[in-house]
Amino acid sequence: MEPDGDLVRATLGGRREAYEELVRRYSARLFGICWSRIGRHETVADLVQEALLRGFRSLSTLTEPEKFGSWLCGIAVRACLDWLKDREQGQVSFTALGPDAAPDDFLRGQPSSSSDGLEDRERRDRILAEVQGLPEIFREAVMLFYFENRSYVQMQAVLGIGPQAINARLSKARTLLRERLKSVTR
Amino acid sequence: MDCKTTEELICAALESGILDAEAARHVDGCDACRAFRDDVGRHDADLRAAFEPAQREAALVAERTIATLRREPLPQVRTLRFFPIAIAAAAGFLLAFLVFRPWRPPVVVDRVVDRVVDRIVEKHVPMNAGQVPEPKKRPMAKLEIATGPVQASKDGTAWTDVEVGGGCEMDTWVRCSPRTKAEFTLSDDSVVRLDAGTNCFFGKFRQFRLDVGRLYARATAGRVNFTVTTENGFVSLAKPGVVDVFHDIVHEKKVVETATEILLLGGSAKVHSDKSDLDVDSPARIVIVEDTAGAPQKLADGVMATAWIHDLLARRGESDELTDRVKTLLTSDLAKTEPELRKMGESCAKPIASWVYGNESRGCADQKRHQAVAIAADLATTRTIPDLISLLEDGDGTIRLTAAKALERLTGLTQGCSPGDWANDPASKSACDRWKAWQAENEGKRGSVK
Repeated sequence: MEPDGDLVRATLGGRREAYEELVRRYSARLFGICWSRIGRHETVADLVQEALLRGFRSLSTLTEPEKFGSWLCGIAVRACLDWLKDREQGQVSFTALGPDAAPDDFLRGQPSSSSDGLEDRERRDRILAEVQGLPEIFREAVMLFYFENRSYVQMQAVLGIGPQAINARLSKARTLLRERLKSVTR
Repeated sequence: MDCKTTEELICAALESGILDAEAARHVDGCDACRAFRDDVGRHDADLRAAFEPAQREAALVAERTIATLRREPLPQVRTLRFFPIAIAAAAGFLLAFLVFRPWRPPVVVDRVVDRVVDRIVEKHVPMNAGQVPEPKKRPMAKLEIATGPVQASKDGTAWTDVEVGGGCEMDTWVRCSPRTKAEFTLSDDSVVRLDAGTNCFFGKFRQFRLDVGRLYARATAGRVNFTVTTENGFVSLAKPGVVDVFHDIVHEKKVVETATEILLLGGSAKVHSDKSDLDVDSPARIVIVEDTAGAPQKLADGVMATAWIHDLLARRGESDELTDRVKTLLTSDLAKTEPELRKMGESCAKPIASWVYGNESRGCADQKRHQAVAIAADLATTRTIPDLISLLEDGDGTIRLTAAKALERLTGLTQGCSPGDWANDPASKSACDRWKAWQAENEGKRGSVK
């Protein structure tokens, strides 16, 4: 896997495909970051796209290409804060939309979940809502493991704690969820 | 082992996919721990299922963003205008000053040459010329592709991550996490693919022992047979061939059996179990339960039976192997194989488009060609543009129209032709010529076309 720094340099060198690889690599992580702050899927998708586009446009300002990941996550956090602030003031805009498009444009083409049973969807939504309500350290571990599909070794690098501590956090998170979800488990 | 430790190991096994043997024995004898294991397993499955739609959505967002990015101008590298030129010029003058040293008298050329030669000899001839440096050990297998974590261990207890591009030596345990597939190449260009949750011992060269999981191998010719061994027996290829081996433990009402399924997709092989030795020609399927091999059965659809490798083929990109598989899927019942083609994503758009405008599809029903070009159009990226342009000259209006719509999606251009023109007018040659001219003009600008 090509390192992030090389892909950033390749993009600045004129290879658009290099940034496409970064988009695919980081979309899940940005989705997790935005979802944990905003919690609404339709807005989260827009914010992730916004963050990725902002990252592309301001890529030349990144002085350390190897730190692309944390830099892009910072952009996503700022996009979320901007959205929350704008929502309070009653106006929301995304540069990605353009003047004539509407947020619903982004929802066109989403996979329909109509093939899922209603009960399954409700249980999933309830689980996600309870994950959202977990304390930060447990929610972070759950998102890294279950949403971003990271291994314990990769989580170690992100969280700065050892595998036993990661295991303990995930176990505790599952225990908390189990207690809260007694009504929705099979 | 106490229950508390067992519970910790059960939770840890959700990540590694492997439960410690002592913990497993404790679970077998402890009702409370067994109930805990089942409970944790259910919650783990619920959490994974809960996140699946969001994961799909994240992937969709990525693709939509990429489509939007293609209309964006590339970011401009900031350049300082004057300052670096001045610095470079100053450095050049200083270097010239130090090299030529104008304040010193001229040196006889021969003496200069001798000094330079001496310096080169000092630098490159080793001090102890009699010592031969140790040759570097080449790994037996190189990890080419991995969809997640892959780990290796010499003793089966201390595991280290294997990075893509890294190697595994002989006599090494290799395991893939429950959601990871991996592809290795050997130094003889044989390819070995491991499915998710597989635990395999890489023994001597071309010798593998599959502990649990699935292994797919494309074996080249070699001085030693290519052999995959399981608890039930082994399959051995003396000549080039393709084999898929699955091994697992079956629990049913406290009866534990081990079973190995062997799919021979290419070449011939010897299949050995304690009670039999079989010489088998492809395509064939053999199942060994405990020490008894069943009679070889004809393998009807090897491509779909080994569809699990398509993730890896798609990540590898265009290849003859991918193209052959795509063609087999296209000539089968597309109603069944279409989902598999779509799962492979953009990497099969080119082979599908090539198949549609090639001679191989001429004998097929129109509906199949229409279905195939629709799949290619949905999956197409900028790399597929030349193939889509070729389809604009097809004799079938539906094919031309589908290709034109895909080109419009990718480029935003119609070359002045409406959908009706493409569908009804086979002589829209001028529009085809405009597309070809556009392609020739823009090919270099889009970056390298693989």
